[in-house]
Amino acid sequence: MTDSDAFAKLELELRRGVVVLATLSQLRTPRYGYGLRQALAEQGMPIEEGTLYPLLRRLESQGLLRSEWKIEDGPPRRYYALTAEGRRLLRKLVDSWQGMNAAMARLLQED
Amino acid sequence: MEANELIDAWVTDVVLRLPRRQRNDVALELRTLLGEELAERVHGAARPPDAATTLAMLRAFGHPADVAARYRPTLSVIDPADGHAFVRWSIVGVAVIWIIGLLELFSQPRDNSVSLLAVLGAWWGRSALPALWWPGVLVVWFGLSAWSRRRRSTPPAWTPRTASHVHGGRPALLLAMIGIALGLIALAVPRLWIDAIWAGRAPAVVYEVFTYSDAFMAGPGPVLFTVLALYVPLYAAMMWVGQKTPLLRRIEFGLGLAGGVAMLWAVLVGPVFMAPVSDVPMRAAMVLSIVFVLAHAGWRRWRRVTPAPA
Repeated sequence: MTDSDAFAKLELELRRGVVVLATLSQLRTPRYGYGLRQALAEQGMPIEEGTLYPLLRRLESQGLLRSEWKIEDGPPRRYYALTAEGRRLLRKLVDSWQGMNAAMARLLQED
Repeated sequence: MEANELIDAWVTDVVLRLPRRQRNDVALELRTLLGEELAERVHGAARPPDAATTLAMLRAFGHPADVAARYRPTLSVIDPADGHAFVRWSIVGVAVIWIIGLLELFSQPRDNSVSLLAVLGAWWGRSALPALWWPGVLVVWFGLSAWSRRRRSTPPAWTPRTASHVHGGRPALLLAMIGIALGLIALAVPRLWIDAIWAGRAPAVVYEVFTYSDAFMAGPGPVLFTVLALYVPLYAAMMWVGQKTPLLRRIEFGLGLAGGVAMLWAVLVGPVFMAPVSDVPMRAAMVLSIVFVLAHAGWRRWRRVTPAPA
């Protein structure tokens, strides 16, 4: 395995760990799949379409998101937003992430 | 192919792998999203998206099977923790069945007019392909154990299995001692159980069938019976101590080895019983026991870990 292969695999693992948190964080207000992907990408967290769209359905089936079809200025779109349970989980995940992030910052601090 | 046709084909391939109730809804959502993705890709271009651009986008999206799998919770029939064990046992089991099939085939009298290829063809049909029942059994076994583990709220705690541990504890040792003692009496003095079953009126042929040959009684027989008898005090000592101490383990290994050698001697020296009807199965059982003893010794050696730098 080359260095770039190893980097790609490990970076993918890192990304996988934060995909759910990143997605939930952007669904405090309703968004549809494509708009959500753009919002994430604009903030430096691009997520592949083939990963994001199925993820929304899985989170919905777990009761963390609710969704509804809407027709506004374009084709019909399915909008997703956090449920009450999703909000509670998001708060917990944010706390946990901030704790880990602080610990990692300390660990990675160069002398 | 038109861009829309390609998208429809890809979406159909995805949703056909999903539960029926979800298909139409996911299909509509995916078509809309893919349409918007495609529009972004050709944004500013003077002409509508062509097939090559659409195909590139769909391939970047992922294979329909992979995308469909992401819509559902991961389903593992066999736990990843059991994956290597499953592969190992599958290969070992199938190899054993194949070898037994080959031995069985070549042990039969062979018609010289039948070619080797035809013999192997018969083996392929009779043993090689049917051997696949074994991986099937393992899938069910590992699948059920994974299912039962997942049903538990807490994973099963690790139980230490040291070399001094006695499987089944003292009750198992007591049962083994009783079994060996009774078995030894039945083997050494067959008349006892024959008379017990037939109330002393057994036909003469029954006594003949269980009469040992002179060759067996002159050499390997007494040795084998002695070795078997020595297991009784050995297990009694294990019961007393409550574990297999290194000395007891060495004695157990030595007795196993001595028993194997005595059985090999018995098989080589000639008939065990006078009558072939009882001699053939007895010697076959001895050969199987020797194979078991060797396999067990090999397995123990293979499991032995000696901490050392690689």
